[in-house]
Amino acid sequence: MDSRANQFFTFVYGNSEIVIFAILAVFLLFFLFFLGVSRTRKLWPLRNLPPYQRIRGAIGRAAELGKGVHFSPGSGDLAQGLHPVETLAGLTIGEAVARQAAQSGARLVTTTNGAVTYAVADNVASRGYANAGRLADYNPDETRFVTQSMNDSLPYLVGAADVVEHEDTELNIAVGYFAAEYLLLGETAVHSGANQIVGSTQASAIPLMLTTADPEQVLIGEEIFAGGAYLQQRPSHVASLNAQDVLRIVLIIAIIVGVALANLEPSWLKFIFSRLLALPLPLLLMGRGQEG
Amino acid sequence: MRRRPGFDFGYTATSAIIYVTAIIVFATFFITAQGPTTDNPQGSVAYRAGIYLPALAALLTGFALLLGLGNLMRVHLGRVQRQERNWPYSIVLLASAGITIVVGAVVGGSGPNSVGATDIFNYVYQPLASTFYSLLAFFIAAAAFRALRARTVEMAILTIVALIVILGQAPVFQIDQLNWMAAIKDWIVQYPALAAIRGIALGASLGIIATSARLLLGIDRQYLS
Repeated sequence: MDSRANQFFTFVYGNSEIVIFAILAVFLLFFLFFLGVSRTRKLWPLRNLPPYQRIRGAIGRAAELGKGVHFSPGSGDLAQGLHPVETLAGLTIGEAVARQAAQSGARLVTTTNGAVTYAVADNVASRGYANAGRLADYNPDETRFVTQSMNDSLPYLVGAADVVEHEDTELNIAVGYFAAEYLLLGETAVHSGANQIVGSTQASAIPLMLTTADPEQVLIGEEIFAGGAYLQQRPSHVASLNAQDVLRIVLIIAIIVGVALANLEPSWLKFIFSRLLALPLPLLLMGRGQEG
Repeated sequence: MRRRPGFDFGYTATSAIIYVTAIIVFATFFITAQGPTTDNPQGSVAYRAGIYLPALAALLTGFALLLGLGNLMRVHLGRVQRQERNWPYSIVLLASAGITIVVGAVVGGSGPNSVGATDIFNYVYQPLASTFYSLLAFFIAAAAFRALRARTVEMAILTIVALIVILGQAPVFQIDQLNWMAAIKDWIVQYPALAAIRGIALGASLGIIATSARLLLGIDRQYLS
């Protein structure tokens, strides 16, 4: 690889924040484009995601049986740097779950790890009830602070499993950050006969979710971030889902083309890195006060 | 906080605080903050923001913790008062929480590193946590058995691959005559499993970027209203 391509990679590895900024800028460009388009015409249709489609029916069934629904936004926390974005994704789904529980009359118990997550979950659940026009039915004691655990998710999952096992739970919805300890909650739900709709971004938890819940009702990876688009049809969420799809397609094409070129014609790959991608390099180096 | 119809000063002020804070924290990630110098002993504004804002977040967590403890007390005292099913466990929980707080604050100093808190952690919490972790072994066996009974192609592949990876790590398969199993395990872990993990990680990263961008732009305001 020639010196210019080497210089490009050295710059990229040494200045990751610029790369992050560039990705964010490209995402924002597509996002704002789709948000603008959504005001005048319909965006790409959302593909079928059975877990989201089944939530309403599953909550209705719990209400018919006179049993409860347990919701968990994961064992992460908003304030301690413990996967806050996954926790926010879980809370977005939690708002829709609260709304549907309020509409159907099912009892909803939400358990949280972390005090700030608890405070936000309480706000989100009450908002769900308010949106259904049944704020008076909301019982603040059903949103529960279980643990303030930083590095160990086991205590929280033991507390959540206790709710599923002993509080007549028909449906366990657990979407957010979960690690391998999730098995404790998943198996408890299986033993108590509860239906499960679950999801995580962690490779350590996903196989365990697939073995403890119906595989059709497991949200894998980025699917957990699509809750706002599927359950609440928020235009901003649908637009960001479209923008994510565009970036994903670009990434897939880049990976396939990169692998093909690296194996078939490496000189073309060298050309891309040393001539095309490295074009703005002198400007960036100058901006960083480094030698060009 | 619920938004009132028309202009709501509280909502607008809270939104403004959130956006300004988000922009400052976001900016400090991309710029190199100038630390204290002889000319400016307090450091640049970005440097001070990088110190004070996380401290403020810790303070807010402290207040939220009080809310959380209040919720815990209310839920379990209510259970005891109403004598609901398993109410004696609520007494155990409340007593454990009270004892831990008092011992942690009084015995051998105060705080999470005091002698009392460390002893409770080492001699009470750790054995209990180990007991629960050991339960996971039985749960894994039960989950594997259920996966086998599911009789679907995906579950069969999952079980076979899990079995190969477990056996590949067993000491007996590390000897020269049987190390082919370890080689298969290494291949599975390094290629198909890693490819799947990277695929999930890439998708999740895009989701994280999207959620963060919506929050930073102030488009997602559901946590405000």
